[in-house]
Amino acid sequence: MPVTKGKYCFVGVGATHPTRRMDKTEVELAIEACRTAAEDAGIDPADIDGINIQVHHYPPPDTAAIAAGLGMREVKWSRDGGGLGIVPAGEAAKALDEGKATITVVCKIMNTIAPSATPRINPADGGVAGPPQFMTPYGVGYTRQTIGLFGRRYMYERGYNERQLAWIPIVEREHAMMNSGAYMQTPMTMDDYLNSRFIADPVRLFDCDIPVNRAVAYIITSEDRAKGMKHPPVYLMGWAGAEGEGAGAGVPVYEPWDGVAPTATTLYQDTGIDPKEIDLWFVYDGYSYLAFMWLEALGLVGPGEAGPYIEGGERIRYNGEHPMNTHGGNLSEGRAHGAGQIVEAVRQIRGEAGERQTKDPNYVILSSAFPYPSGGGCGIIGRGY
Amino acid sequence: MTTPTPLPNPETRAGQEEMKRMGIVPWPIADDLTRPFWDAANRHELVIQRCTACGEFRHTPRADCLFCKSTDVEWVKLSGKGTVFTYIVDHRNEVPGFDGHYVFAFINPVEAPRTSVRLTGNILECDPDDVYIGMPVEVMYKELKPGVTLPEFRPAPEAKLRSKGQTP
Repeated sequence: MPVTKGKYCFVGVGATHPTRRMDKTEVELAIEACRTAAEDAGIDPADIDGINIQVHHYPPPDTAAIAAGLGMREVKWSRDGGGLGIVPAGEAAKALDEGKATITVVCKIMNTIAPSATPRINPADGGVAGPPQFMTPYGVGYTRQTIGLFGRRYMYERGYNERQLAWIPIVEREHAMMNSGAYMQTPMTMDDYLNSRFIADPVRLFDCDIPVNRAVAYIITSEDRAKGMKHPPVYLMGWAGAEGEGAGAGVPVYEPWDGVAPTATTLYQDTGIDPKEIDLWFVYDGYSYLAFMWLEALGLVGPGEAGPYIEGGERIRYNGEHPMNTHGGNLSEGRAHGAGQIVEAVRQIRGEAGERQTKDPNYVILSSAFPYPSGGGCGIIGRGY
Repeated sequence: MTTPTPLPNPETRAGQEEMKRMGIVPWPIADDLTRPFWDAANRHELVIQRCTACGEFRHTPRADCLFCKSTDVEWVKLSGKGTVFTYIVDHRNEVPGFDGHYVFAFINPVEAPRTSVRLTGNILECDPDDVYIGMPVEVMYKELKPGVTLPEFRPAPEAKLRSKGQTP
């Protein structure tokens, strides 16, 4: 959105170590991640005056307890929930721009209790109301199933194959193994991928992100304030997108292979940045099929080019032309609905990514959710204008 | 007097598993927008909306036309013949009422273009390995309970079935 173009910066990032066992409460996880982010920014968490807590699908967040745990002196702006990935960062920047707060923390808490959006079935009698009435009575109510429907048609339309798609999870696993904060730490070969079991054929287990318990936080403030802080500012260059998660509920009529997504067109217009100028491609990978579709939906490659581009993995590896999700992504670092990609983008721009550091990146593009108008978001994080 | 057992919470995995154990089978609740479709299914007919302003078909039902936004609509009976636009074979069986490997598909009816019409259904009477994009199918009807019938699909006679040595 032009109103926040280049005016707001990421000054601190933090995340808890992903686990599969819920050994801390969501509030504890959130406080730990937010405190780590404040420490990274070199600020006292008490000085944070805006807070946006996002949870998984269930249960709702206890924002007041988290704000209290951080010792926030004043909560000027508070918000629960919101969109995925870069969208809540944009919403936080908008709140700062409207003078609702001066330093805002955004934190995503994930848990393994509610592993995904579940079918909306009346537990008393099985009734299904609204748009899902055309899906759930036929056994469809999970996002992975919808992804499989569009994924299969996309591959068919483009003539792509699973040996091309496989390079997304394979390369992201390599990246995860260079990231001590990633959950998955064992290598994945092409055979491992092809032998992984079907969940909703064509979607395999290794096409799905790994559900974990974790909290991921980042702190955003104005450029003026950011300049006085510990690290050089990392800018939210711009963002575009909508709230909501999209394809889970009803019967979408969009065609994700139809070209550049309207949100991406808006992003490039607002920022004046050309897709060719973007170094790192942090496409949303809640499912590897989504990452695949986003390459074309963001106009990073032309229609029909995504499959050949990722084949072999060299171009999307951390040392390749356009590294993809250098932290391991939702697929291998652990599910965070895209919040992990923001943390990694900041680290890459600062040059703090260690073994997996890419060469002098200027711009990172991030996308979230599903590449169609009502459900997707995208944004660019970079060194500034 | 016994305390009534609390209902499962459908927002959790545990709740979904409990509904499955209870034998809950999901069924469509017809509403003002969708009732003509489900009423027709009970008569073993397949009807979808067509915009009377611009003539375009649409499905699943919605109040306005995707193309011209008109709310003038008629319900048109289809032949029940179509082709598979895309499909999945579910292997997880997490939805209450479903077991085994089942096929769910979006179907393009022969009468209507693909972008605005997505008939939904399982492909029944068919080995999941036999399904392919473009496969000709025909409608059939499955009564879930009195007054609730689901249109479903099965391979049309001209479908090429791998299990019969044919090449799609």
